[in-house]
Amino acid sequence: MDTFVQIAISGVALGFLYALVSLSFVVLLKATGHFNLLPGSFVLLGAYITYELHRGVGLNFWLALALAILIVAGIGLAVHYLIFQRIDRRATVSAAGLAILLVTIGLLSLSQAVAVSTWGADVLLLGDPWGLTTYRFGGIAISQRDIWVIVLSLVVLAIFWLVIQHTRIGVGMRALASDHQAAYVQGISPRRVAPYAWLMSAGAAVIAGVFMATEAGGGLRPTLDVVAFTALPALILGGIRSLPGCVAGGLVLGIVQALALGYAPSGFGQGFSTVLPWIIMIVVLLVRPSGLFAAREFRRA
Amino acid sequence: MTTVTSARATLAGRDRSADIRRETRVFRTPWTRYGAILLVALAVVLPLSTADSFLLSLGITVGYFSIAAVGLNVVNGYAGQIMMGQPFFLAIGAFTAVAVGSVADLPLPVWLVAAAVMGALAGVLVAPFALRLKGVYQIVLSLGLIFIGQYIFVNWSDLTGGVSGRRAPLNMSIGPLDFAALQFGGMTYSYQQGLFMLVWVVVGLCMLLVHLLMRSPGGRNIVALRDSELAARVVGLNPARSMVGVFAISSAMGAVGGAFYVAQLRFVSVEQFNLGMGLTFIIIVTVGGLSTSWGPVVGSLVICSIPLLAGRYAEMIPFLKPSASVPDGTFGIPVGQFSVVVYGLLLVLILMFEPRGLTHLLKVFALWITTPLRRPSKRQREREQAREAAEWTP
Repeated sequence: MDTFVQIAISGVALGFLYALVSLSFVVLLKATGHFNLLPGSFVLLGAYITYELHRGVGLNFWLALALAILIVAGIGLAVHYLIFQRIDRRATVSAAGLAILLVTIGLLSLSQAVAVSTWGADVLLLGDPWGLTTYRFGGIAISQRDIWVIVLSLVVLAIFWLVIQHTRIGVGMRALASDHQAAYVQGISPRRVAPYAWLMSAGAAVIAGVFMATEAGGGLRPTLDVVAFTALPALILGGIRSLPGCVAGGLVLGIVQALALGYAPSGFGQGFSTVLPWIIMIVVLLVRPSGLFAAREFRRA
Repeated sequence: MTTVTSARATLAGRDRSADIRRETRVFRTPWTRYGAILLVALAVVLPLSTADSFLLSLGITVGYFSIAAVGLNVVNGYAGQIMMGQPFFLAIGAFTAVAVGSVADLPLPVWLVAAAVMGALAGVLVAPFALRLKGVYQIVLSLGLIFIGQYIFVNWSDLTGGVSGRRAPLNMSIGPLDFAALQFGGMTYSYQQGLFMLVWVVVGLCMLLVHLLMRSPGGRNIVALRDSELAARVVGLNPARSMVGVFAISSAMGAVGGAFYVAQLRFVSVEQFNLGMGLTFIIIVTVGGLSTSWGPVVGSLVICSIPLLAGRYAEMIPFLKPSASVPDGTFGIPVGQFSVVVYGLLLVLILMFEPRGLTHLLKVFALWITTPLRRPSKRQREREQAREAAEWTP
């Protein structure tokens, strides 16, 4: 029983990480109207920039984190103004979606190459900013990092919820996502909403990236963006336009993955716990294509 | 089409049937007709005349990437479905080739056809899922295909060698002709030379197949479905049949590409068929030019040559560090990453400035270069004659 609770808690922590990354994807989708893979490079670059500011320049960890979020948001905004708006102007809606996706694939490769060029391909250590103590309650051991993951993710989620539900920018974002032209007519300008959306997306992604870079036995390595893609099933599970949905989807998949890691018989082969979210996603897509928590959708995308 | 042209024929009072016959021929202009023959001849003559193994192995790599890219172009360009999971079909073709051509040691046509058939089967199985979804869902599903494929093949270690891969020398004989050691005119040719010929003949066949497909009613159906599925359905097209066929062709070509991949390396490892390969294929078809015949080949040529050339000429390129990726204080792009940087940059630049791809750029360039050499077209000549006839006042 104790093992079960311990595994479940580490699953919850993993699930919150997935939730953060898929939040990053969803906020961008709602704000720009196109699905793009940039959160993958946000995760990677954010973690590396935090490393550079914290270990290289010597800033306080939280300051380094905040600065990294701002820098990555700036990169995202630059991409938005220079590339996305240009493609949106020139192409039709469907072609623009594919073109933006492909551009972000190119940027993903570029960011990975930049990371390896500047910092090398070795695993770097961020220096345990979360502390190393492990708390024990009865027979259950929870590391301090896991507690930080849960607490910080809840804080981020609370901030997101507040912004999206109760501020003008957030309401504007939802309006733009739900009907772009009607929102435009009402006076909601995508240009004013965009910076906040990119900031939120960058914030969630960078925090998730720093957590991924500090997991036990792991470190900061250039393949972090691929790790970010394992959050995509959570995105689908939750319905791609629903914020509470992707949190729920992330938690479900995190717990399931941790349980599979702990309890799966070896007959299922290696790598089963990493492939299980994808299998679940495919099953869900067959049964309920709009995701488990999607709002009423008139199109499937 | 016949009704329109017959109506127009009555209106203009001229017999247009010769024009129709000319328009619907497979090779429309003398350029393409003789060019096709020239290319086939080149594909056979080139390996016989050089034994430079660098060039030959580059050519073979470009060849099997082209085959898989031609397949992906059908699905991605003509049919408009986003399919990032092409490595999955390459893996299927590769491991079928290993099973049939290496373990069972059956001759070349057998494992080639077996790879194509298995690939087509896989495509038919995947197609219903991929077609039910649009946009984001389709992208993520095709990504998932790669990961699930890797999981399946890594755990099937008898066939695939698990994580470390396995050596797989393939049987390259067609009856009395053995491509591994080709005997022709008294000389024996190397494995690379025989394989080069084989691969490029297959590339030509695949391009011809796609060309014919796109000219046929089936091909027009696919393009109609891409441009507006609703309108196509109103007209009476059944998306299921057309699209499943398209997926089957695309995955069969991907599988054949994978089979030749094993033939070249004589070693296969599941690790190779990863997300990176999927992204590479997407970059190849996009940079080369979606929905064009030559796009996949041009794209493969550019994308495959860059890492090899960068490795060879590393000292001459600025910002390049020939050594490994150890941070030594200087800012430089390690050779291994240079190709990734170029891919990313190329993709971004092409999409921003010329979304129709490199083939379009090359076409424009070729037209510009040959402007002074071209004869005026028939219509231009007729217009000139009409103008002269109108000016002539006796």
